[in-house]
Amino acid sequence: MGGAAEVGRGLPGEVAALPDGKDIDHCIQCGMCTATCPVAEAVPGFSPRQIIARTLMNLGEELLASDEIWYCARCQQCVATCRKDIRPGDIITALRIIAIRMGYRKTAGARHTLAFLGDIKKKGKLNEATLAFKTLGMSTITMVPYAMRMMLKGKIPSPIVKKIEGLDEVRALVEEYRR
Amino acid sequence: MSAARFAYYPGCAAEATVKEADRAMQAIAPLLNLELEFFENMTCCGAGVLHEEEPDVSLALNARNLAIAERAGVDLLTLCNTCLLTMVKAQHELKSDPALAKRINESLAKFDLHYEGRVRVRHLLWVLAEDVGPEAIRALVKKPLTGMRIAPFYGCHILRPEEVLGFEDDRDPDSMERIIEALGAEPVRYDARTECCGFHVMLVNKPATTNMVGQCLGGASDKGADVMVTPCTLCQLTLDSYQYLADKTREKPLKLPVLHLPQLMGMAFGLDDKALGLNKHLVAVAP
Ligand code: SF4
Ligand code: SF4
Repeated sequence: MGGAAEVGRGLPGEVAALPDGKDIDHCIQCGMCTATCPVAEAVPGFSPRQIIARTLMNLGEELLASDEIWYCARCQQCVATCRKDIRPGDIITALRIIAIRMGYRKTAGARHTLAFLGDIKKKGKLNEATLAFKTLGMSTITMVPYAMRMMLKGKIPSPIVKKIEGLDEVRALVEEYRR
Repeated sequence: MSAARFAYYPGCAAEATVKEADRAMQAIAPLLNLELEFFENMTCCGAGVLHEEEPDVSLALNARNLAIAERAGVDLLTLCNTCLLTMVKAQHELKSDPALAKRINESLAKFDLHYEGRVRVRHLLWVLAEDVGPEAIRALVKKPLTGMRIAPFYGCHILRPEEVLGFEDDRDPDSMERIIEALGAEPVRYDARTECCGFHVMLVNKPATTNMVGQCLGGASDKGADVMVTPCTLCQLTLDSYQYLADKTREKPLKLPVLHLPQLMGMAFGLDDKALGLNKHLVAVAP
């Protein structure tokens, strides 16, 4: 860990304590990650470099409660590009982990993430039919035209997911390994 | 030659939304001498998303899946790039944290399972390029795809991070091109072939995904592609189903059909459209 007093306390320290975020303090703010990021190109204002800068400046609340940390598409372009091996996409993953742990669970992104464990505990598999609603809530309405098109091709997944065998093993592991 | 056996791990998408990928895979497997074994006790890999809530649960569940394959003495074969990266990353994590790996193995022992690290996680594309090989593929072609201009779309999680996946050059891959050529078609060169389709934010950041889909398909279409093919079920789902949204931002609709890799193989092997689920696409596949 770097010598900065903040690392070890506050958000930078929490990020650096996770395997995904451990190299954050080597960032030189060169901006190569943002230059290569397809989401930055599509959504003005999104920038992995800035997310890292704000993290290092300890602007925690704002970042952890934001939709922004959920905008990353996990494409790994920045991971491949960063010369300092920071793995910027993984830093964003670390911020997501911290956001969930600290109770910032209202964003669509957080709700999307929280759907997975619930489904896996129930059946061992993801329920693709209910994922949109769990993520978007009432805004799922915006996905209706999309769903209609999928339905015409018989591509709406069944909401009834078959339980895997050995689900009790899975549930035991979940209980044992969850925080 | 005896068939190569695999623990078949199609991924949640191929089991629910894009079932045609699974159907096509099962149709081509015997021709390629691949024996797919089904394990009804494996869980969802968590797609890297479960990791955001419970990293240790995600690792333990992946270790369990891997151990199930190991117990059966087979490697894993998946159709999903994200399953691939999630499972390969889990293997790296288990290697880099021996204390946690030991603890997980103690838990797995209760179910008669043990993760040693012998099992290999493979993607269909890798098995085709590396084990089967273009020559053997060429020998199976009954209806060469002559004259077809095909845009390969790799998807992120089969290429990057290269130091984790380590199969081919993430900036200049060629496994897809070699397979397309073996099927008698012409691979189309375009810049976006290694770009991101936007699947992982399709619900959370619809405008970004729409833009990314438009960039990827537009790049291929501008170079004269008749059809796109991808090894990843999630990329196919995104590029096919979000295409109408990308069309709204363009002067002319793209009308670029997006095939799953096993579907394209099956077409060249002379299998009928129904068996390959070619009628299941939102952007129609021309006969
Ligand atoms: S994360 Fe890497 S690429 Fe991005 S600004 Fe920092 S050093 Fe540069
Ligand atoms: S992984 Fe996320 S932050 Fe990095 S380039 Fe891709 S979308 Fe951007």
